[in-house]
Amino acid sequence: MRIARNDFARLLQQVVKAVNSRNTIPVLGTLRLEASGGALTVTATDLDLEISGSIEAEGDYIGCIDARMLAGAVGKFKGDEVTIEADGDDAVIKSGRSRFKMQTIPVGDFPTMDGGKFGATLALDLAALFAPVAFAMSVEDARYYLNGIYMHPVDGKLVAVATDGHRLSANSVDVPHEQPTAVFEGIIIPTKTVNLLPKGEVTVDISDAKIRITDGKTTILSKLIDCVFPDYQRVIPSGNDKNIVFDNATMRDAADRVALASNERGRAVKMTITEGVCDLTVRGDAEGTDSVSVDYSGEEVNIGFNSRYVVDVLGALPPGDVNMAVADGGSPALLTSDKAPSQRIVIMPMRV
Amino acid sequence: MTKPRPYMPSNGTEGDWFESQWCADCHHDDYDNDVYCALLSKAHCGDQPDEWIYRDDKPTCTAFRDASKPMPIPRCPDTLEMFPE
Repeated sequence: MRIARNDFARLLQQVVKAVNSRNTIPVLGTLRLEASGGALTVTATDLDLEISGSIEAEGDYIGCIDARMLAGAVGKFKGDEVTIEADGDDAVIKSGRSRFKMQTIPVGDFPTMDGGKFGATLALDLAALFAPVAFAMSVEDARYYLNGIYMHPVDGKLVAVATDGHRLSANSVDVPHEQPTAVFEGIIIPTKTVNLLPKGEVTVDISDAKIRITDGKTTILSKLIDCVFPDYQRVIPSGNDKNIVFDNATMRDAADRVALASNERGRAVKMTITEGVCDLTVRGDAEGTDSVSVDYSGEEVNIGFNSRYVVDVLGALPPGDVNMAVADGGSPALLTSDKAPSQRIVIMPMRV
Repeated sequence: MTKPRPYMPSNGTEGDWFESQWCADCHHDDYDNDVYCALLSKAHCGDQPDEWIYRDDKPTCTAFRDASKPMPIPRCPDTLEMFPE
């Protein structure tokens, strides 16, 4: 089999992301290569996720080759072409003056994920929908149902939500009427799949247990998290009547500065908001104070947040004015920006 | 519950292999940033780390934290919960 080295290297870089660096099952550390009919298809899986992609190729070949070694070697080859030939149980890979002989695993051992029946098909920029919410995905194994992004259709829109129980970010996008979004219930897309999404418009097929994302000749097939996502809508406050408007970068920088005074035991930044000004105070190993000009005229508000959360949520909102709506010091705050009307962020307060 | 079988490399070559499989990609050992794994140091002194065991008959470090993923940050105990359990 003969293939263009650059195309092959690019394909391997995409596909190899599905391979876990530590596998107790040897075949999961390999890539399945199958060339026939003028195309080479490369597939990798970790049993929860499968990535496959195709490029043009001359000749036939089939075999499973160590993923890291193959991707590393092809990436460093100097030749314009790569040839792969079977030599008994081994594969001989040549390019320019380089020659590698690698062990293979029988293709029959390579697990394939059955896609099943897909009920809904959408065409959208999934990466752009998820980008403003991905920061809020939980990393805790105990709450595995939060280790991903929840996506569901609501009134002609697709809403993506991520939360770790302290922060919540929701973003939505309009979906053209001809797309049958209503035929799927909410789904939870795992973190690893979210992190592998290609940029730009993709075709998304959804079944009860899997999601398939197709970008040109590359396909990601992933299991969904089989669990119920919490009723997030009830924690998005609707009656917060105290609206404080501030510049995103100014507040983020101030929170980041005063956080230097915090320690591992206490990361609370106390915000005292009075007419036209928000004073930030952190008491940890040292005491740090700062103040930011705000557009607010009402009774004094005292509220505390984890300083890291403040920096994170403001980083997920666009530059410019941010509106923080609060009710009191013990209730969640809602952050929005006129520049991102489809985005809502909720942050829980901290005892200070 | 049965106690896991402890693992200790039997020679330097095996130790190098184990380090390349685990420590090289772990948050706990980052030579470039002066972060040194306490377990690795303990093993270099000839002491058995409790976290080095056989799992599925393969040498494993249970303290491994994949450096390609963000290090999990301990949950803030003072922030109120959105979804109390």
